[in-house]
Amino acid sequence: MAIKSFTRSTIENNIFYRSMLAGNTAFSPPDESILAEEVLTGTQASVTFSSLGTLAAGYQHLQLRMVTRDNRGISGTNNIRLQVNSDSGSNYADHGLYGNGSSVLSYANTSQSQFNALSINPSNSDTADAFGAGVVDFLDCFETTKYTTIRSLNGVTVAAGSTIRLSSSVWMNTNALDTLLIYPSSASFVSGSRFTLIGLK
Amino acid sequence: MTAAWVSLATTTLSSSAASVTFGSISGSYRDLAVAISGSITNYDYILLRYNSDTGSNYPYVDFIGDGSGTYSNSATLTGARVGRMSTTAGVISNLVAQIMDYSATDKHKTTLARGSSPDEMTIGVASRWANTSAITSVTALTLSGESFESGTTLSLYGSNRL
Repeated sequence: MAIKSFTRSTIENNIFYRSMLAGNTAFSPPDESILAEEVLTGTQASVTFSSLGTLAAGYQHLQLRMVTRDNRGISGTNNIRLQVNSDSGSNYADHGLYGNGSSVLSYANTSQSQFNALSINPSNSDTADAFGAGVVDFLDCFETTKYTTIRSLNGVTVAAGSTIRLSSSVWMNTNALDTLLIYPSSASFVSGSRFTLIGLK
Repeated sequence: MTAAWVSLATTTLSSSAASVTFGSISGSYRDLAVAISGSITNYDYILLRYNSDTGSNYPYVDFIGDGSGTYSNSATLTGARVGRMSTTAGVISNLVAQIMDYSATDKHKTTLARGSSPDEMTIGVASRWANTSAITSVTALTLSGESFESGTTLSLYGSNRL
């Protein structure tokens, strides 16, 4: 938070202010803001965003955008997992609806130790330069009176398996989100994979 | 703090148009989004064509619900499928398509879209432009040559990078 003005400083008017912010307009973050971003320059097993309470101060929701690919030695799609606040207990549930080019199917998982399918990506054995993408919304994720609900739209199109998926998930814990650990269900993310965290009012 | 979405261009058609192009797109953003709200001359799917590439370079997969069943299709088109629009008088269709990492030159461009032709279906789509070039223009058009009708609004947004 930058000090924008000293027009009401002690120096100018000989009034003693206890706050260096005296005379400045109140800081109000924009309705949406890029909070953090990581673009991988090499292979990496996971990506972590931490201190979310500080990083996202003033925001009600978070959005995570991912563009990913992994280094498995076999072709086919791979789910992206996410664990919050280092909680590895059986406190996560997922539901999803997805299309694979021939039919629409659904799934449900309960008592999971992480969110299992918030995005999806191909591997280095699939079409060169093809990545998967996901947009994940974390709703009311700093409220301590409710579980955190997540929704995601994600997809990938490669010859070995194309998928478009809408998922909803819940972390059955009322703690405010503090850390996000993002990782593929197997292998590691490759260079060029990108993760952007956005605050939403 | 860096604001996320920035409005880059918007147009509301005063007469019908077969296509609308947003050109000279700066590469300074991380993602793009296209929002379309309005109607077309007959029910049809909506495509986004990048950098005027008319080749069959856009594989997609979708899922659709229309009240009587669910459907999923996949094929390769001459533009990224991003939704479907209605022609019924007074019915406004909407879609939002996010074009991820549109200016990156180390990857194909994935577009995630969801929309509704509200008297017909709701649809979600993932498309990939099989090209590593940065996207500098986006043309919205229909699959079968229909036109966007007068009053339809098309908007382009950029999402900043940190």
